[in-house]
Amino acid sequence: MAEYQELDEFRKRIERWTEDLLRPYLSGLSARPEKSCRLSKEFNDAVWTTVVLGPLEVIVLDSPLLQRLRHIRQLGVVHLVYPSGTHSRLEHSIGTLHQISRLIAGINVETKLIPPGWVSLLRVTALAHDVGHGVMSHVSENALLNFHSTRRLLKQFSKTIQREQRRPSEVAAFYMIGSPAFSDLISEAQRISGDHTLPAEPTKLMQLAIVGKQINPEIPLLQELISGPFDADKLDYMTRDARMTGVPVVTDIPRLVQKVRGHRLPTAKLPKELQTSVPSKQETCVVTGVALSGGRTLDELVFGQTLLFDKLYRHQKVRAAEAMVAAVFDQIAEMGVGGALLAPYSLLDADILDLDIAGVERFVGHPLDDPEEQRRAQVAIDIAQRLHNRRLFRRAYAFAQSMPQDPYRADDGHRNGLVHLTASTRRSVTRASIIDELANMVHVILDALGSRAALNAIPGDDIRPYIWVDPPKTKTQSNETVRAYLLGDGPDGPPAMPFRDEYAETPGWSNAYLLTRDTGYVFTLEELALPVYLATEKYVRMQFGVRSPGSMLPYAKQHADVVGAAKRTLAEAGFYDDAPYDIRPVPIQFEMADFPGRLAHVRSALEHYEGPVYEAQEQKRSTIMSQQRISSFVQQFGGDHADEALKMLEQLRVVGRDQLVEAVKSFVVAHPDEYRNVVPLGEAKDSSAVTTYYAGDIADLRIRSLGDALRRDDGILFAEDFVGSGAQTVSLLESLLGVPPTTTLDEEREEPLPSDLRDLFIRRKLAIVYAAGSKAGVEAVELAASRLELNLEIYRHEEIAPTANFTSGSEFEKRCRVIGEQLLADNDPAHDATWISERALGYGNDGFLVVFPYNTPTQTLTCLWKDGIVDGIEWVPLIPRRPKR
Amino acid sequence: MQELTENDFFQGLVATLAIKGVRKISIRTDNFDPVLLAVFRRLEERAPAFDVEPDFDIIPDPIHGDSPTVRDILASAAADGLISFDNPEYQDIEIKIGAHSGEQLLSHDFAALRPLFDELAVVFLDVYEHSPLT
Repeated sequence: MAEYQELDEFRKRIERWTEDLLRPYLSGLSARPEKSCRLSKEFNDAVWTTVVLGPLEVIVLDSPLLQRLRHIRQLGVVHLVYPSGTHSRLEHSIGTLHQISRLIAGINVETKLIPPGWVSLLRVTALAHDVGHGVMSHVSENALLNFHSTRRLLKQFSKTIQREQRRPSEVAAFYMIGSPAFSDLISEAQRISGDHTLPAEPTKLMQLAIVGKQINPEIPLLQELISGPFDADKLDYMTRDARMTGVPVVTDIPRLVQKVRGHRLPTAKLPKELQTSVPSKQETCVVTGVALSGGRTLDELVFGQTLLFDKLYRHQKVRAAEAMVAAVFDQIAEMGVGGALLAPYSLLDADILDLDIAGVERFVGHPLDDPEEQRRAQVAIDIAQRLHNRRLFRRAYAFAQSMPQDPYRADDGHRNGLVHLTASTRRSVTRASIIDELANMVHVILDALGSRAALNAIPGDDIRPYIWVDPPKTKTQSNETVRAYLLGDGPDGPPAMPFRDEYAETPGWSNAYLLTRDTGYVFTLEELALPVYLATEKYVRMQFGVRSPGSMLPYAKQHADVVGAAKRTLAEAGFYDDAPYDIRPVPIQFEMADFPGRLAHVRSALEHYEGPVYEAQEQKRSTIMSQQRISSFVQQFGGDHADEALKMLEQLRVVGRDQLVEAVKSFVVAHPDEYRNVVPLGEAKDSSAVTTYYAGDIADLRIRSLGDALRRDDGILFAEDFVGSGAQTVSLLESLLGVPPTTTLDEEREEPLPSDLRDLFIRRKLAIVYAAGSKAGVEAVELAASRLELNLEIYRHEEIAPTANFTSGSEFEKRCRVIGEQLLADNDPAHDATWISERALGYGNDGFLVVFPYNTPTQTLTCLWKDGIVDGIEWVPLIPRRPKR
Repeated sequence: MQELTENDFFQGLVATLAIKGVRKISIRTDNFDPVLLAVFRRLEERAPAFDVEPDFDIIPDPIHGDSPTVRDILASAAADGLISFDNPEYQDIEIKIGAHSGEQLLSHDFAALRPLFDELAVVFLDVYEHSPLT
């Protein structure tokens, strides 16, 4: 034990604390004669009606160690949300004793498989199993888990007992029950009650049972009735917590108890893992479990736990109240006489709710002379008073990978950012850094908004204690329950099989239920909720790349109009000068009545847009379209150009499968029996591979390779999506024929056709059908065809002209040009000023507004498809184009 | 000394496995928990050299062989979008991030621990490939 000094110190302090608490009671007991307490007592219980305790149990129950639990609420602060959930740990302890009796009765129904002494041990263990709970039950131990020292202590304890232990209260209970004072309590209780049925070294066995360690190799799973898959603790708390709070629970506890079994089995017939826990000389042992026919009741147990966890224990308002207790602990726990780890045992629930200077001084054991201690005490008292008056922290910000309708959910940058953010909020050190940063930003925001008066609500001006970051927690509820054994009722089949083999999917679905619901929150005061939201939104965007979807606002209890107004004020103060465009205030046009409809129109037009999924050097960005994505894109143009940017998107023409098939069909109908072969104009890497596939929708056409088609007699048709300047088509034709290129497109071309095929190509009747394109482009291709002496007919179905906006010299055009120039500037020496200026509005500077479902042509306006940096801020394109390789 | 949570440990391991092209892993208790235990033991050995302190432990239950910490690690990783459980029995996991994201995740918080996670991934793959159910 001395190997872990901190743990040993904790043990000593707990033993001393238990001694101080029990010794006066023990003195009184020692004066009582032997066998002077022989009567049982009956207790009325709100859940189980009558519970009977034997004399020994009554003596233990009457001890200050147990009576202390009368002043600790079972559910901590849940009553602030579910008003009737005020039951105490003592009520639960008595209920647990009752439940263990029912479990034992089920096992002992035919044969007394569990001997009387062990029954007594289990009963008294059930009664005392929660003595390690401190003020407000799990609330204080969760608060302690925020201290690195607590996690280190748990690790040391786990290594010591060779079992994972993650609850500080169980460590404390282990040492309280193992203390000399508690041992004396049991001895005195045995003497006075005359009950000497307990096995030897009862307190040691109680300790082991509480932490789930084996206590009896004859019944190798006996301890699991105290801490195991369907232990008495669960059976009571699930029913009691649900009943007392008015929350329905689906678990049929009476049925489960009815299905509990104990079977004496030959050791040789035990499941392998159980054999390892039974001495080899032992020929038989008693296995406890649930009848095979009762497997569903265990499923119900998991389901019930899952629902309670989601609905009760992790209710957002309960978490807000717990955050306040944690904030109080943060301020004063380490000032306590026994340090932070002893703090839960120096206070009762009422001490926290009624905390004042005198209370803090009692807690720390001396007058508060030190200014820092005084400051901390004032903050703790302020938060405690808020808790007392139910002026709870509230949500200011919410984050989760599973945030509903998050348009950025599939973006790697956003998703990875959320992983970083969540991980950082789970570490005490980095979480504190985040809170420091947020607090600093909140001060800036309050200044800019002229809202410093909000600080009048708190003592001093340190707002860090009033900001609490609560990460999503995914403590699985089903792991313990799936450890149960199903016991066969008949001669056939295995006598005992693990539940997790038979119901392998149970942990999966139960965990999935919780995983998709648990959300991380930033909690704060009502008065600071807006500034904390604004600070968090900017901080997580800039530090983690996390975007705040509009669908999150209701989860954070924020209102878009209020947030928008505050953002405009902050923008004027320069708060967003260094921030990405998407978190800046939305232009005023966004608030006009027609804006949602216009966004919806653009969204609808781009419904079938898929765009490339590519791994660029910096990040992989998916292209799931949404109104928020469109809105964020427009926002990048700033208020002066937002309306024109949206008008530009309204003109965006999607040329897809429908348009291409319609174009080819029109041409084929006008040229019956002339063209039976459709061939890609270009290589496998080009979009013609896609458009040719589309053209195959027309039954009369056969998709062939160029060589194959040339060896046949029919005319050859090329189906293309778009002609802009015509340069690409001309380049492809020149390449096929092996003539020197008239333009340099910086694209790879395959070898020219062999001479025999080239001759066939020149003589063959050819047609290029464009679904859409410009007049100039068609003319350029026609000219080239004539020059190359090709028998080529060109058909363009729909005319799309260069966009007027970008030939007018307007301010919007200038802005688009500046953006395009910045986006195109890179380290490639070939990309000089001339090269950039020729493409700033898309290749040829025609500013086409065309997009295909699978990609965006270079002729389209550059700022629509190119990512990069504009004015020092990341530019996110709406319809990214696959980069050339 | 840098604090390393159980979720950090698994996040770094998954990111490294993603970089190595691993996609699917069986998580049956008999198989997976001992594998992760072996990786954790190596982490404990090597942590001082990298100035990190794991603030958790993995101790499989002596009877049932499973570790609640391992199961919570998996649940958190699923919630974080790093892995997904395959239906209908949830006995296999799929790593949902690619090599590029793996690099990003490592470089953000664990740049200095990259060699450590490389080592842990090697241990994982070695023990996993020799475990009885693969």
